[in-house]
Amino acid sequence: MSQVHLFDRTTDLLKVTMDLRSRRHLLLVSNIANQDTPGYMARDLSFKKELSKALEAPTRRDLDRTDGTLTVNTDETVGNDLNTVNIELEMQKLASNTGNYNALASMAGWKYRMMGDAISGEGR
Amino acid sequence: MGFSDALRISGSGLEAERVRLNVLAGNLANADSTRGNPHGVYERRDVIFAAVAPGQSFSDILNSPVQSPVKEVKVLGMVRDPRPLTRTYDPQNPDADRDGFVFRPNVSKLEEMTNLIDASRAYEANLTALDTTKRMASKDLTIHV
Repeated sequence: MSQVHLFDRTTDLLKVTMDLRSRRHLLLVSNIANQDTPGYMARDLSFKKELSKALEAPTRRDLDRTDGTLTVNTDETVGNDLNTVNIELEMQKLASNTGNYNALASMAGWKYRMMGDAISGEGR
Repeated sequence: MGFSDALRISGSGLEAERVRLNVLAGNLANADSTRGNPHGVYERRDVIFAAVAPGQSFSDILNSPVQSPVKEVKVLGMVRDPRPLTRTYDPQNPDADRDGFVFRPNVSKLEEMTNLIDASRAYEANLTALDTTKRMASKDLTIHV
């Protein structure tokens, strides 16, 4: 008999990705708050490559260890006070990150509702 | 670090931009104040922003092994603009000195207006970020069986 997992890979992936997205949200919010701070460099979290690599791995461990790579925008041509926040780009990133986060939260909701239906044995 | 930190950071942005708006409004309001001598003439003021780790005391920052990349914004202080005052010939002015000159503040209305728009847009961006965080946090509550 094969092993039965109540919380499967999808649940893990949702958990890890929502965590990464909420951490990225903090960085984007911090960039927006510091758009007028001299010398502030815009930061971002990239995890696309790392996440898809972890998904190909046979064990869960790689997925649990995925914590993204912090990137710093050092391009000083954006402003003349050494501030590298590009506000249009940050707002666009904020919108897309939030959209993705909300989609993940919806998916997590469906996942748990399906689980609840299976446990109670009644379809809703 | 969670959504409460994101709310705090956006809040710090709102506060900083509001302080900046107040200072800019003060500059604009005093753009036409005059004096007969250079002493006591209004000097243009500006604020200094700095990025600091959110909600941490100095010892917290000193003792933490890794510097957090997440920063809130803080108004470090207010500075006076070192640019020289303008001296204009205006003999009708009650403040005019013996030669008919008055001293005016080193405030350019055009500059203040562009700064004012910049600060107000920055305020709005922080407000949008705050609203987004709020929606993300309430979306979390929809995850249930």
